[in-house]
Parts: sequence; structure tokens; C-alpha cells
Amino acid sequence: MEEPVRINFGKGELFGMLHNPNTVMPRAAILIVNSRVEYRVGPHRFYVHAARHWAKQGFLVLRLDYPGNGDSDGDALYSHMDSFPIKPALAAVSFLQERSGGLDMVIAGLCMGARNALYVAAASQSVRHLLAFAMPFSDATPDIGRGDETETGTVGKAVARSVLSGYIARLSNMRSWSRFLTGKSDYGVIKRVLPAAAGIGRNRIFKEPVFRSMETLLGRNGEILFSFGSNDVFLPDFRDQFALVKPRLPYEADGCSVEIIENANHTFSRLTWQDAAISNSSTWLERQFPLKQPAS
Amino acid sequence: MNELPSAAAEPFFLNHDDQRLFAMLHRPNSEVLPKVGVVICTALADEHIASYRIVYRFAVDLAAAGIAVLRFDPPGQGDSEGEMANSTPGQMAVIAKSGADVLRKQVGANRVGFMGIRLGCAAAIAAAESSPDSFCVAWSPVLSPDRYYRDLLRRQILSDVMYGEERRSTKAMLDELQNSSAVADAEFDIGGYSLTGSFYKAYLEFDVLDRLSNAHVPGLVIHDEKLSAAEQSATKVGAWYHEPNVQVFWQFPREGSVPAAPSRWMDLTRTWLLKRSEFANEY
Repeated sequence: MEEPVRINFGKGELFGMLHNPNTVMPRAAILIVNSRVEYRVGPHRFYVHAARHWAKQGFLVLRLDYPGNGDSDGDALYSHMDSFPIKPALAAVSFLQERSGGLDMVIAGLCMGARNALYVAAASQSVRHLLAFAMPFSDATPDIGRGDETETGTVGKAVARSVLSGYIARLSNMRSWSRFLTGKSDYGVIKRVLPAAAGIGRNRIFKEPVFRSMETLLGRNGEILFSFGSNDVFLPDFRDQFALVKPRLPYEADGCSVEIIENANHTFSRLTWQDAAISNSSTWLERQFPLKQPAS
Repeated sequence: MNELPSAAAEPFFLNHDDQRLFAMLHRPNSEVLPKVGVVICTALADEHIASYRIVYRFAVDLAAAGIAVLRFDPPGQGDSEGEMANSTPGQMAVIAKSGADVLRKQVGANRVGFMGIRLGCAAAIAAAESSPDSFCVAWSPVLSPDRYYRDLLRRQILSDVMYGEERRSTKAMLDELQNSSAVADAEFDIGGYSLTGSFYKAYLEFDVLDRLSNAHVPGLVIHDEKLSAAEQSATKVGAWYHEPNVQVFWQFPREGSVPAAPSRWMDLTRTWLLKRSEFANEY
């Protein structure tokens, strides 16, 4: 049964949809964090499909609207996709802990929602599990990652090349030249994109807060499932960078599993891709939280 | 029986065909019973997601002005159960009318009308034309479902090519949708939503302007596209506003931010709705 809930976060109320499992005792609780662009249903309703599936499996699941998003109070507090005030999510963690009677908790998300989920997991002492769908290890676009809530951004090679090809396409456009020559172009973006596209400084692409959060989570004997579509633009960067940072992570990142969904894109925009990603996550959840045999 | 809570501006579920449909009720802030209530029929698929916060903000804004609002997620959308195939104009109109009953009986609104956004306009018109003393507001109604579907399918074909899926032509897909039957309904996965032949045909057969012209209810249409002279002469819609510079709030901007609210559309609509309380029985 799905139940609308409101959670006080100090500056108003967050709105969420709680999926109660049909079991007397849930296996664990799952908090789904979004990117603050789409609301609690997620891209292409991925979160609705996932939450219903996991609830059937016996998990208590909460899909959450951030302030200024969906049906939650407040303004969007929106400067860019990478800025993520963590306090409201921690209020949701407390709510879910209370509702579940202190069960283990998994934080989940897709795209920037996955990265936000990682930050929430790392900031919550009792959390050890993360479900990260299509998580960007570097910045999603070259003009994010410089706001009041984050440090200097980092641009992955694949994203940088895609942006660079956009600049090349505009070389014959007089308006673009006019903007460039009159100082209206964003030179900072160009400066950051060029070396990244050339693969210079690859070992520094991995976003520092991502690394630190993974370090924290894995240091707690944490378990992470990374799920990517084989056509995800962020997959090449993940492969490059994860291999580089793995030796530096606790237990050499032994707690990390990776699943690739054949042909799927970054947001799992087809039902078949969503089904495959959700099914893989269910298997991983089964392993993490096996059904307890009733005492004889 | 709908599971309706007693507090103001509250979420609840409408029961329709054994399915729970998510709805949100916005009661006016005043002690006085609202004179006017409006049921909002939202856009569908990704347009539903992109415009969700705008609809929330507008509902809050209307409630503050003394207008009761009920909005709901159609089947297969948002938090509702069911499939998008069941979000045809006729089925959505039935749901919208049960929402109108809630506004009349449980909130006390004297006069209740319907508002639609994009594809949701068809349901709003269908509900209004069969509800005595109602009215209808349409925000950017899809005037040419044929063109709408062609654009949708072209984008899907482009995606098929990008991701190495089976290649199909727009014409082949349209033919399959058109030639499908209740027994063998065609079905395509469009951005995570099942587009079926029966759904496709239900919207294709619904002529928004013709139906609104003959609905015999006061109507307000606001559109980002201009009507042709022929369309203008064919319609007897009460109020028509053309706002070409509005940001298309039913699509996410490319830079990954949230769409901006169409404040002029909101102002025009609020003023028009407040006038409905002054003129009961306009037809």
C-alpha cells in the first residue's frame, strides 16, 4: 500500500510516497533520492517502477521530493544540478529509521540522484548500502560544479568531447564568433573542456567529494551496486576513473559491484531497460538482505 | 469510496476501476466556502513530469485566491496505478467528474469547471461538455494530435538509431497504431510509457477546437502557437490568448534545470476563473 507522507525538515515539509510492503517485518528500508530536476517519480517514472518492485520484495521504500520540487514546501534552492543541500535528506533518513523501527537502510538514486544518494549515505552513520544507477563520477556538464555548495568541478573525457564537438559545430556561426570576440563566451568552460577532452589530468577527473564519500561508505564495510546502461555517456569515464581510484579505496573497493544493462541509455528510458536494471538491483538486495528463516 | 482526509491541501486517492489514482486537494485558505472549484487534467508522459511543479504552484496560487483545486495523476502517470492506455479523453473525463463531485460535496464549491494542460485538455473539454454550468480552461491544447504523435515517434526512431535498436519508420509505426484493434492492440515503448493503438486513436479522433466550440460552456484557451484564420473562424471559443514567448514549461530545458512558471498564463487564468463566480449559469 502506498502512503503519502510529510516530513518536517526545519524550513517546511518534504512530501514523499511511502511504499509499505505486505510483510509484517520489512527486510530493510530504502530511501530514493532524486536529482532535484524530476520530482519523486524519477526520470521516465523509474523510481515508481523500482519502488513498487522492491516493496513487493519486502522492502519499505520512500520516494522523496526535495524542497521546491514536486509537492514539497520551499523554493527550489536551485543553482545547478550539482548543488545538493543535504539536511532535508537527513530528515528523511531519520523519518524512515523511525518508521522502520531502526532497520538497515539503503539509499538509492539515478544520475545526479545517485550522486546525491552517495552523499546522503556517507553522511548517515548507520547507512552501509547504496544503489547507484548511472552515477556520474565527473560533472554532467562543464558549467556545473562551481557554486556555493560545491568545490571546483571536474569534467570527464566523454562529456568534454561532446561539448567540444558542439563548439566545433559553431565555428562557422558568426554570432558565436561575435560572442567570443566581445567577451560574452564562457572562457572558463572552454579552459576546462580542452584538457579534459585531450585526456590531460585524467587522474584528477574523479570528483573529490565522490571519492571522499565512497571512502567513508566503504570504510564502514559498505556495499555499493553501480548500474549503468551500455550506452550511457558516463560509462567510459566510470571505467577509466574507477580503475584508477580503486586501489586507494578501503578494501580496494571490494564492496562495489557493477552491472551493465545492454543497450540501455543514461536514464533507462525504455521499460525493458528499467525492468533489467530493477531486476539486477533486486538480486543484489536479496544478497544483502536475505529472508530470515522463521525460528522453529 | 475515495480515501479523503479532512485537513486542507491534502493528498488522497481517487478510486477508479479498482485502481488507486493519486490526487491532491487544495482547499482555499479562507473560512468562507469557495464559490468556484476547478479540476486539473494534467499533461501526460514526460510532459506530466516536467510540468508537475508548475501545476502544484498554480494550484497553491488559486487556493490562496479563494478557488478550490483538485488535481490528479491519470492512470499510468505519476503516483497513480494503471496504464497510460487507460488515460483516454473519455476515461480521464470520468475521473475528472468524480473529482468535481469531491469539490462540490466535500469542499462546498458552488460552481466547478475543468482545466486541461496539453493532451489533458481533451479530458477537460469532455468533462465540461457533459457537466451542467461548468467551464473549461485549456493550456496549450494539442491541436494536431497527428503532428504530436509524428514528433513523438520521430524522436523515438532517432533514439532507436542511437542505441542500436530495431529501426522502424514513422509511417510504419503510425500505420500499426492506426490499424490495431481491441483484440490486437499495437504497443510501442515511448520513453518508458506504453503507447497503444487504442490510446492513439482516441486522441486522434478528438477535435479539441470543434468540441470546445460546441461544448456550450465558457472557455479560455491560452496557447503558445497562433491559430490559423480557418481555425479561428471555425471556433467560437469565448476567450483566446496567444502567448508566443512563453517558455515551454512541459519540457525540461536542455541545460537540465527546472522549467520556469508561465506567470502571465497564471494571471490570466486566475482572473478569468474568479469571474466565473460572478456569472452562474452562463449558458
